[in-house]
Amino acid sequence: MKLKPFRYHLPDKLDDALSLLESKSEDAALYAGGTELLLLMKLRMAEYSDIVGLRRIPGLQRIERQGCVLSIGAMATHACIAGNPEVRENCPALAQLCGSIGNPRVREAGTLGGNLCFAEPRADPPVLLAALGAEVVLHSAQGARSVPADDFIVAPLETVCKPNEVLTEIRVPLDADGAVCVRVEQANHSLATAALTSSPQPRLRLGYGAGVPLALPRTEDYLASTMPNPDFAQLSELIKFEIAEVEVVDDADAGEIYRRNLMLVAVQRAVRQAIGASGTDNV
Amino acid sequence: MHQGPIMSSHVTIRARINGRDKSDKLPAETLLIDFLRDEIGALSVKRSCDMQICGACTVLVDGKPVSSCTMLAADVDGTTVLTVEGLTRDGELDPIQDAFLKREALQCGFCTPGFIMTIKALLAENPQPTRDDIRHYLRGNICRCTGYERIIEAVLDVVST
Repeated sequence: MKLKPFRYHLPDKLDDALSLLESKSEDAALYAGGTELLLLMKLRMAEYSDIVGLRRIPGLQRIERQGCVLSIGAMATHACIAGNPEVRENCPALAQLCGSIGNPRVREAGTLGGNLCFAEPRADPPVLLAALGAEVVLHSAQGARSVPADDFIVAPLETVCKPNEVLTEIRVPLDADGAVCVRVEQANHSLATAALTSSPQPRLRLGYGAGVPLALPRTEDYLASTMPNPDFAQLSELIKFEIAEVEVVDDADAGEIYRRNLMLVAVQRAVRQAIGASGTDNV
Repeated sequence: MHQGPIMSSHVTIRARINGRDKSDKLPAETLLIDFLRDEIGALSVKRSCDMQICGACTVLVDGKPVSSCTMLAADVDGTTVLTVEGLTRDGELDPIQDAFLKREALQCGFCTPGFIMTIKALLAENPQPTRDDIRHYLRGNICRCTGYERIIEAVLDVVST
């Protein structure tokens, strides 16, 4: 499969990239690692007159601790995040997750910002970032705004990022201690992913191939009052109750009943891991 | 979307490919795999799944393994690129190639260049991988012929020398 022709731009300043988007936003695509975008274009599912590469823009690959926030540039690759000492020390769940995405080649080329903006419905980083209470920073020619990771993805393949915006940074608060992220996977495809941070308050988010990370507020409240010793029978009933309210479809990866069970299992395992009880973090 | 055919822009790629400095001007939409096979003549780079799953097209860019089927040639401007053609020095096989032959770690050979480049990257990152490390790192490379065991043995041979 080959690509159709396009005009290629490689700005070395963020402002230049933003100007390009202003003048061409409908036909232009931003190009980070290309792991999702190029595949889409090869399959002829998308076509763009202009491709704006971001790899020369300074600062977008930087990962640094800024007080109680871990700042991750949108162009940081999954491999860089997985190996970064600040991430490994302050947010090991994120380092571990980024180290398990795809395969080594996808990890070397793919970026966290690209992963979020593409919003593939089975992607795991949105689930963990939502549980961590992270936010993303979006720049346009009009200025910058922050959006909570919880609100960034609105549907499969759909985010609140506007055509003239560039996601520049992911900010992870470091007050959320002891985050765990459990993937129930098959052949490295996530079927259900549960991410739980225990402090200051439990934040629980569940991914199940539907794109938007699911919050389970009643389960969170129960955990808040019972951790580190929840009654697992009660917990399971509560999880099942909250999951029952959500639409889960049969698809090629899992039938509905099986998927719902895996969602329950993912949350149970996340809670066990958070307590420190024994348990594996993927199937 | 857009109306009418798009005029492609061209990109200039200056890169060190298999030890040689090269400068090429290409249409922007050129994929790295096509640049390497058609312009450079590196036919070891194989197009197989064409969607970055199988690893047959793996090449090293600045020492890192990438799927050349799903990367723009433009992305290697200013980098060092290595394919199997760049491994042989003065007629001497790379130890990984040698081990593959000794262990008969290939049959049809189509996945082999991808495996060898991936292993090269693995050993640069971790010169003493365990069997589990190897299996984990090679998880993204598919072989239909060998059943993988001889490939792992070949890597362990290189590690132990």
